[in-house]
Amino acid sequence: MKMEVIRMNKNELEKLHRIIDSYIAPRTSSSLSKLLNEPVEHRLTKVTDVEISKMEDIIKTVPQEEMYAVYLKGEGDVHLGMLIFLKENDAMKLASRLLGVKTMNKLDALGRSSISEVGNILMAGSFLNALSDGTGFQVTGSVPGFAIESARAVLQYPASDIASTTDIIVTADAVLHATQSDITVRILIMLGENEAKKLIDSDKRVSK
Amino acid sequence: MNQIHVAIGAVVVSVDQETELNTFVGSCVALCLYDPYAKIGGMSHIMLPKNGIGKSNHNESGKYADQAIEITIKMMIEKGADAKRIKASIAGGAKIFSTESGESIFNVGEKNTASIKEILREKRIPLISSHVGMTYGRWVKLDINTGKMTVSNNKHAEELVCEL
Repeated sequence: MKMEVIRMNKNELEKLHRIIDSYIAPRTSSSLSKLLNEPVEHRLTKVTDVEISKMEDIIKTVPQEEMYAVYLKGEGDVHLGMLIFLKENDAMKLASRLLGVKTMNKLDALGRSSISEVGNILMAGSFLNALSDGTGFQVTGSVPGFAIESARAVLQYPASDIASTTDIIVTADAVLHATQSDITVRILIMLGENEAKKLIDSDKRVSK
Repeated sequence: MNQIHVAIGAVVVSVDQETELNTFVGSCVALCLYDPYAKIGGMSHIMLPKNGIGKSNHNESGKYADQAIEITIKMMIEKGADAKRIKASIAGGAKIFSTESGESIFNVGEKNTASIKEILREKRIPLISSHVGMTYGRWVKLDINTGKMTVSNNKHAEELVCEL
């Protein structure tokens, strides 16, 4: 049986853009700002929906070098995947800042743990709390998974996770930039189109 | 040599002797099926073990292991392959993400691999080789003329896995 592919319309994508932006701007970026003790700029670059077979279009927008990535699943009233990416240099700077060491040449177990914890704080803590406050949904973050791999390899797991219920993946791509240390953290929120529509509908209820 | 890229969740079958099929797999698994006599080969990029909801978009016919194997064999037979001669090789199924406590919540790669092996056994298709597991992604190539399957990535040079 062929599944009917229902794409989101422009209006829905714009609405989702505003909703996710409203979770990231006040909460996620301010969490990173507190962790680093410096101003953090936030930019939600794009909200888009893509057929799974065209997932590699997303990969083209991510640097092709090896990335340091943390992935968390959000489970409960809405299901979503949350991925943060850092380039190697930024991961070292972030870990050394958090661990209070001057420089770091290689990410040891403690360094990896600190990056995972940043993912946990930014996504399971700040983002999901903002989502719950905004929609009333109860969503719990999984334990964070850590990887050092190409974006191509890293994206397959969240894609598979979401692909079990849909053929369309909605992605929200945001960038947080710490202005003094020049650390850039890229965030990719991924969810199925039905889950995205749940967020949009719940936002209508909240804003009534 | 013509290169045909097999997209995530897709299936491609070719009879063109000048063609090489390729795909990149992390936790997903590349399944290569080949009839050495007819020189017909197929590659599917499998994302999930089984189709739990019983429906799929035709563009993502390789998404689920059960459907991917079925469809690849059907496409190969339509092009002149004999099901009794078809051999298989798989690569991928890596565990890209790890947790500090070693929890197994990110092990879809392992499940994909187990599911494919089980279905191949049921269909009596010999699995010649499997380059699976580990923690890294791989490029997988299948040469339609020779049936050679190779894997590589940015840390590991191209390696011949098998000749189907």
